[in-house]
Amino acid sequence: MSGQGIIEGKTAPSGLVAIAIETLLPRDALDFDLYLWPSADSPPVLYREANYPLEEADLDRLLSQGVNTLYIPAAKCRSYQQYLRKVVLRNSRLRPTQRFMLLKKANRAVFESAFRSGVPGRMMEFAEEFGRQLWEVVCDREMVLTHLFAVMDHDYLTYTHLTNVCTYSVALAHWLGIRRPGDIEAIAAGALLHDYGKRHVPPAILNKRDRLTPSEREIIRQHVVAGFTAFCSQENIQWGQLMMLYQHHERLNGRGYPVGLTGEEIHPWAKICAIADVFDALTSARPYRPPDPLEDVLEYLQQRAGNDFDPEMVRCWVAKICPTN
Amino acid sequence: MSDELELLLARSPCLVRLPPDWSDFFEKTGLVQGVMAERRQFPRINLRSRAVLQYRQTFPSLPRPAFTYTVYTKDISRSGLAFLHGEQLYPSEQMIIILPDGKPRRIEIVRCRRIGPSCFEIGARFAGSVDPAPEEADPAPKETPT
Repeated sequence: MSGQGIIEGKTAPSGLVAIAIETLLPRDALDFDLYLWPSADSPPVLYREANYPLEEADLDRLLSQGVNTLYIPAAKCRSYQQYLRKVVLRNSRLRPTQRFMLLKKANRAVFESAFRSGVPGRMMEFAEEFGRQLWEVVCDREMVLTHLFAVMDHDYLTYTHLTNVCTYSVALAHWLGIRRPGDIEAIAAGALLHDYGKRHVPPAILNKRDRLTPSEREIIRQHVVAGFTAFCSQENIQWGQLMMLYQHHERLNGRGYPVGLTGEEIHPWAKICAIADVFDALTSARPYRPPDPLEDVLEYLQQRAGNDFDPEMVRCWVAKICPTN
Repeated sequence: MSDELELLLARSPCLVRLPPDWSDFFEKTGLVQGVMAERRQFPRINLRSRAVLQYRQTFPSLPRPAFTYTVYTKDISRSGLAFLHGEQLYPSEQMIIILPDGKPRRIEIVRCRRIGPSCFEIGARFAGSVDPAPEEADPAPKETPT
């Protein structure tokens, strides 16, 4: 699939979000308007009203004219996500890893819009729907976790990191045997939100290559409090999800932050997120260093099992992501 | 300390377990010194005493029955205070504290730090006055809540 719903060098018009044409199927009635935005110098124009299906000829014509992107109202992002879930998961020709990659690419623009809006409710809506999508893909019985890791993005951009942690958390939760209806999707959504508080950390500190000063370290540490306080009043968030935001830097031996909790004081969902977060951080490329080899990262986790990370969870993760280990 | 507050303290269980090396906790007096003290807007004074904390429901996802607990105050300033409690409290939680002067005050939790098992240092800012009757909230059950 080409294009990710983001036009290089262009910012979507206010109130609209870019989507990739390849994610639209002919003869599907969509409950959102579609807009064309021919050039940065002109305003967007209504291309197709809601509930008027596109025909195959329409899609072919757009693609032949070099149009890969249409725009939808930001308020309709959730509808688009729900449509994506139907379209992608309905496509039996795709393997689970292909569905995963497609869902990630298709959701990128929607995520950017929700994240940048600064409205926790919008981010929560996105996270819930994305969580459902991911759960269905990752928990597909044909899904092999080692194959999934091979197709993950390993840059350290925000969207990549959050969706990676989301994916790893869902996989780990599934393999730990979490089966209560709704829990896996809730864990997925919580993982997607876990670093929301970093929105308030100056990029110069977040991306700093040199050693952080104590005050810079303290600023970064506040992101867990910022994320918690952004969502704590939401009606539709579970306590376990809030703890993923708040406790994912806590460690079993009490040397984590923000509280310094130990062992059983840390919520199990936060423990899952902690492993997924560290795993992605070490397997991703940063501007100042390449990713660590997978076997080194797994050894790192195993060495810290019991002190930093839940030992049973680490054992499960290592066994699943590297079955020969 | 008024008789009314003494009665309330007697009825409100204390969950705090002071670490062994904090046995002189109630002896400290005077201004709080140190690096953090220099950064504060207002000076902090050690206030080592007992107070009554009234839980209030703040977050939809965290049930807080309106119980009262005895807590240990640590220090206080014009803008806020620190106290010890046996349970973790969370940023943005709204509660009421009745200090040794008997006056109830609304507080908002700012931070929480684990000192040891059943001992958390809570930082809170004052968030306005309140005028509840102390008997509106129930004392917590004598059994330690899980």
